[in-house]
Amino acid sequence: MFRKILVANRGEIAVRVLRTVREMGIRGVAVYSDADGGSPHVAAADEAVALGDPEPARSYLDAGKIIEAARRTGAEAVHPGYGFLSESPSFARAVRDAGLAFVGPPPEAMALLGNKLAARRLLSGRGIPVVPGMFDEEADSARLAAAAREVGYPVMLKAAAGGGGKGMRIVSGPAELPEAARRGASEALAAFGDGSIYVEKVLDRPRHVEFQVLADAHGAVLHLNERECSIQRRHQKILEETPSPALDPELRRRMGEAAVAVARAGGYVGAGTVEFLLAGDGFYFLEVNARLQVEHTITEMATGLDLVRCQIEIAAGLPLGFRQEDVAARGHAIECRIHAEDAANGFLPSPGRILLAREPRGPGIRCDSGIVTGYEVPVQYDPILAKVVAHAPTRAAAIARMIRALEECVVLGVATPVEFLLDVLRSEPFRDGRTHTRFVEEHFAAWRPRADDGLDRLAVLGHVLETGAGRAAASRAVETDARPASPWQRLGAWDMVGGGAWKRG
Amino acid sequence: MEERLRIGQRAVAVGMREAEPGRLRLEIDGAVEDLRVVASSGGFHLVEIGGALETLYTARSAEGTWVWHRGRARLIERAPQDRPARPAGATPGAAPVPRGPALPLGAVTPPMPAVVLAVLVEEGQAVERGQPLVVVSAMKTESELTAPFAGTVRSVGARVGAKVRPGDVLVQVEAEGGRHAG
Repeated sequence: MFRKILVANRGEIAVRVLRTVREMGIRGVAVYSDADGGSPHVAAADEAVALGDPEPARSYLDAGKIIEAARRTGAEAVHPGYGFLSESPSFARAVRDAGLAFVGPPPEAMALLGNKLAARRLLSGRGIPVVPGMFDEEADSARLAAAAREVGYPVMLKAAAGGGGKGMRIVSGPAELPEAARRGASEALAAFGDGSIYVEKVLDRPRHVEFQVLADAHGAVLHLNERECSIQRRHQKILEETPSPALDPELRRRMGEAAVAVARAGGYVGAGTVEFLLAGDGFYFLEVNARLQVEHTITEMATGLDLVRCQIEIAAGLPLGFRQEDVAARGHAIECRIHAEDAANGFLPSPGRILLAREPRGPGIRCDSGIVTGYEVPVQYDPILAKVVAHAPTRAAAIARMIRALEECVVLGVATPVEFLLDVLRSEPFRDGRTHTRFVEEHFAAWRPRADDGLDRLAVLGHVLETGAGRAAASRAVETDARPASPWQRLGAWDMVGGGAWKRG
Repeated sequence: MEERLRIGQRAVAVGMREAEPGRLRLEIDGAVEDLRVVASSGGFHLVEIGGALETLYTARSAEGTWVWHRGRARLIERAPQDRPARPAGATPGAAPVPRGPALPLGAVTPPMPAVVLAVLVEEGQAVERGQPLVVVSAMKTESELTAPFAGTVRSVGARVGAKVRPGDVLVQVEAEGGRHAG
C-alpha cells in the first residue's frame, strides 16, 4: 500500500478523500492556492504545498506544479478528486510518467470513455442504446444547425470533454444556435481545456439514472446499483437519491449489466459512473464520468462501502475483495448539495464570507463540508460548500430525515439553496417520485422564498436579540435564569476553528 | 427601544420593552408579542413564544442581521433614517423599499462578485436594448450583462481580468435623446 498520497483538489471533496487516506494509515498531502491558505482541506492533511495564484489554470489545473508538489513531498500516488484535472488523460499520463500512481482510470480508458463522442461511437457499435445525435465534434455553426435540424429541436449542445453540465445548453430553435455554440465552446474551453461541442436530441422529460461501477486491474468489473439525479438546475445536479423510484429489479439488472458492459468495452479500471437517460420504458447511454462523483456519498450510505478506499486499493493493484452478488444496498439515501448560490435569482453564484455555519447531525446523517464559520468563499472555484446526506430504511423516512437535517443546517452570510431544497422535498411531485430532468423548470421555475409573516416576526426578534437593547436584555435573562448553562449555548462543528476569528492563510 | 427595519421588500416598525428579566415585549407594526428568552449567546438564541420553543441563529454583516430559522434565512436591514418605514398611503407591511446604494440610470453592474471575461462595447457605441455589453464569470459560470435600454455607451469602466462587485459601474449607457426609455 502507498505510504503517502497527494490530493490534487480543494473544498469538500479534498476533505473527504483526505479523511479516508488518514483512516488507511496513509499520509495525506494537500495542495492549495493563495485563495485557500487556511481552508479545511489543508487542515485535513498531514502536509500541504502552496500552488500560488488562485487562478485555476495557474494552481489546481497546473499539472506541472502538482506533479512537482508530489515529487517534492515524496507522495507515491495522486488522487484528483472531481473536476479540475480528474478527467484529463494527459494529466493521468504525466502522473504515470513521473513514476507515480494515478488514483483513477488508465489514461487510455479515460480518453476513450471520458470523451462523450468517442464513447458514443464505441458503445453504439456494441449494441448499447445512445441518445440520438452527432458522433463527431463540430465547430462550424452551419453544420451544427444541419445536425440539429436532423434530430429535431429542441437540441442539447454539449461539450465533448468534462462533465458537471459545463458547456451544456438547450437550444430551442435555429436562431439561438450560433450564440449558444460560441458560449458553450468558450465555457468548455475554460473548464476543460477542450472546446469541442456537438448536438444531441433532447428527450421528453427523461430521468437521469446512473450506475456506479468498480473495476480492478485483474479483470473484475461490477456495479453498485443506481443513483437517480433528475433534480437539476442549469443542467447540474442538486439533489440525488438511491434507489431510483423508477427502477424495478428487472430494469435495475438490465441497466446494471449495460453499465458493466460499458466499463468492460472501455477497458475501465477504478471507480466510475455510467450515466443513462430513462425515457418511456427505454434507457439510453449518456456518458461516462471517469472519476469519483460528487454524489458517490449516497452509494456509500446504501452499500456501506468506502469508494475512496476502493479507488486507492485498486490503484495499488489489489483485487476487489467482493463479487457482484455480495453487493447489498440497504434503505434509501438522499444527498442535497449546498452551494453558495441564490435559488431565488436564477441560481446565480453568491460568493462571500460565511458568517455562521453549523453542520446538521443525528441518526443517519452525513455532512461532507469544506467550510467553517469565517471562511471566505472564493470567486474562482465551483460554488459547492457542503453536501448533506440522509439515510433511512424507506424513501419517505429518508425525506423526513433530510428535511430535519436541512432545518438544522445553518449557513449565514452567503445565499444557499437550503430553503429551495426544503420546498422541493416537501412538494407532492417529489414525494410521489415523479422526478425528471426538467422537474425544477416545470415545478419551481419562478421559485421565491415564501412570504411568511410568522418567519418575518421571528427574524425581527433575532435582529433585536443580536443587536442593541435586546442583546443586553437577553444576557440579563440568561444570567437570572436558574437553570445550568445549556450546552446549546455553545457552538460546535463548523465553528470549531477559531469561530469568527478564522483567518485565511 | 424603537427601530425601523426592513425585511426583503417589507418595512416594519419595531418596539421592544423588557417586562422583567428574561421576558420581553416586542411590538412589530403594532402587534404585540410576549416572549421569554431561554438562552442567548454567540449567535444562538432559544426563545419561548406562545408556549412554543423556537431556535434562531443570527450573524451580523455590513448589510444587516442575518437570521436563520429552521432552514430559512432572512436578512434584516436598518431602514434609512430619512425614509419613513411606511410611506403614507401605502399598504402597511407591504411597502416596497429600494435595495442597495442608488446607481445612475443606465449603469450596468454585476449582480454578484465576479471577474470580467470580455468587454463587448466601446465608448460612444450605439447599443440596442438587451445587447450584451460585458461578459463576467463567477464560480466558473459565465453571464452576460446587457443594455437596460437602447442608447449610447457613455463610459466603459470594465477591464478584462478585473475583479468586480455589485455597485461597480462596468458600463454606463445613456438613453436615446438623453432620456431613458422607461
